[in-house]
Amino acid sequence: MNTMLSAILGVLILFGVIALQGLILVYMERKVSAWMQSRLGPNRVGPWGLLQTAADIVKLLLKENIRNERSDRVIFFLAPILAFVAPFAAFVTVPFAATIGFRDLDMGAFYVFALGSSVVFAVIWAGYGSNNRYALIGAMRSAAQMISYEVPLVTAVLGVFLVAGTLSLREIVQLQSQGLWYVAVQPLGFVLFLVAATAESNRAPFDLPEAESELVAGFHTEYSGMKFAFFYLGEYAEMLVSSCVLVVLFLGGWLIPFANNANVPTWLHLLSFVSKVYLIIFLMMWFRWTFPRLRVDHLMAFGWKVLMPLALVNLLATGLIVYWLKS
Amino acid sequence: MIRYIKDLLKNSWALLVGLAVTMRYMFRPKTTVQFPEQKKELGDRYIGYVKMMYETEGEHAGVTKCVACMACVVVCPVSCIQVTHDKHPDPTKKRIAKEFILDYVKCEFCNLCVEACNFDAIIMGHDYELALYDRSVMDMVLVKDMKYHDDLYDASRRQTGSANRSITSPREREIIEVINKKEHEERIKKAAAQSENAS
Repeated sequence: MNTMLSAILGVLILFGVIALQGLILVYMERKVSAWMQSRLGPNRVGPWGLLQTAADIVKLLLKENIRNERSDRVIFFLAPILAFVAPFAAFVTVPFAATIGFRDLDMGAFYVFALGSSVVFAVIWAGYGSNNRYALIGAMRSAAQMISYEVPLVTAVLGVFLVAGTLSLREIVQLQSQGLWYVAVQPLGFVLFLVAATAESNRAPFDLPEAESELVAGFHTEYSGMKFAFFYLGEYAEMLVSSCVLVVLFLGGWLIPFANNANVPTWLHLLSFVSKVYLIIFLMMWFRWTFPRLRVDHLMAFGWKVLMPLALVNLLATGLIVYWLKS
Repeated sequence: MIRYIKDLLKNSWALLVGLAVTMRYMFRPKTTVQFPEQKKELGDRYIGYVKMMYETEGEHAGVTKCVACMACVVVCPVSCIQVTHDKHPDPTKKRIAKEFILDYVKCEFCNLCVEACNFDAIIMGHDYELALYDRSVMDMVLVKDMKYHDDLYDASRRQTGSANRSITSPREREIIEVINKKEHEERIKKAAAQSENAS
């Protein structure tokens, strides 16, 4: 009973934190995009427009939930839930600081990537369930894209696991506290992971599943109101979780650079973690507002002809060096 | 193989250049003008709607400069100006406009009336928020009982627009100043000459 209660409490806290992060990230996205386009961004609702996203959420809550008459009722209903739940559940194993985190799984990294790739189901369900051509094309593209970027993503990360010798995220951070961060050990892996993670979370320039100019809104064309909000929140949650994993694997998690991390209070570690995550998210936003969307065939070519060989080369080189050092 | 690596490096460099461009723009001053609160600086020759000039000093301050010569009425291609005249209160002048009404429903801002005016009595102002809810109030009275009268800024009539204020362009201010000074000096000269003649 007690564990049940603490689990429910944990889920509620996590949901609150992620929803709040979603609000902040949407605001940040708007401000960053505006500044990069010489605009001012939201500045009417609340001080500096801070309440703009809250107003948007209220609007989405009040909107009608429209369902296509011929849509598949169950699948149509389940898709937005899965789109949010999968990245949400991945947070369970992310170590936010030395003593903060929900569960430290032995196969933490594996668990995170498994959940990350299951988002593709949500997208395909949304496309199939809404019985709309645009949505279906968006979903098909998304399936192709996510499957082909999953491979270089995981291959790029394998180098880190070879060096660390563990799949537990907490242990990986602790190993980094003893030596160099893995961004210095695996620079190519870091870049590949960053690119592939951007593609995994369906963000521009890899946002083909929801290419507005050709597919209306892609897989979520038929969604409205709160279901649409869940897709939106899911995108930001996935962005958040991939940045968290990136920070944990390559940027030393909660560790503070150039400092003795043994006697530092926990809140400073947490601050360090959060600022690193936001830095990565800013980087993703920077990509989004700089690069134009790739064409479908270019996207596939980039995934298989550039990312994949580089990831394999990285893996091979890392393996040889690790083998040579150990023997 | 070599070409593959070369292309890879070249294209990665191109991406970095693109990132640098957006980063530069992020710290540049923003181009947005927040309209109701801020307004754009307009060029001197901007054509807003017609403004009536009037004496700002002396005995007849507030009295229109329009002498009802009807040049603008004749030249107006859409006949949107109505002028009635009266005797000028200043004995050195003959006629003055009693009422000057401009129908903005018809007016096409062609600037011909301003060009026709020999007395610089009307100029093109810099105001542009002209939208009103009722076309019956679009007859703008610019002169009423020989006095300058700006109907558009009559609070009871003005129902739209953000700021209830008139924009005076630098050119407009200049014209007002120069004309008033010149006219004042000329009038003093004329009066002196007349008094000399009389004596």
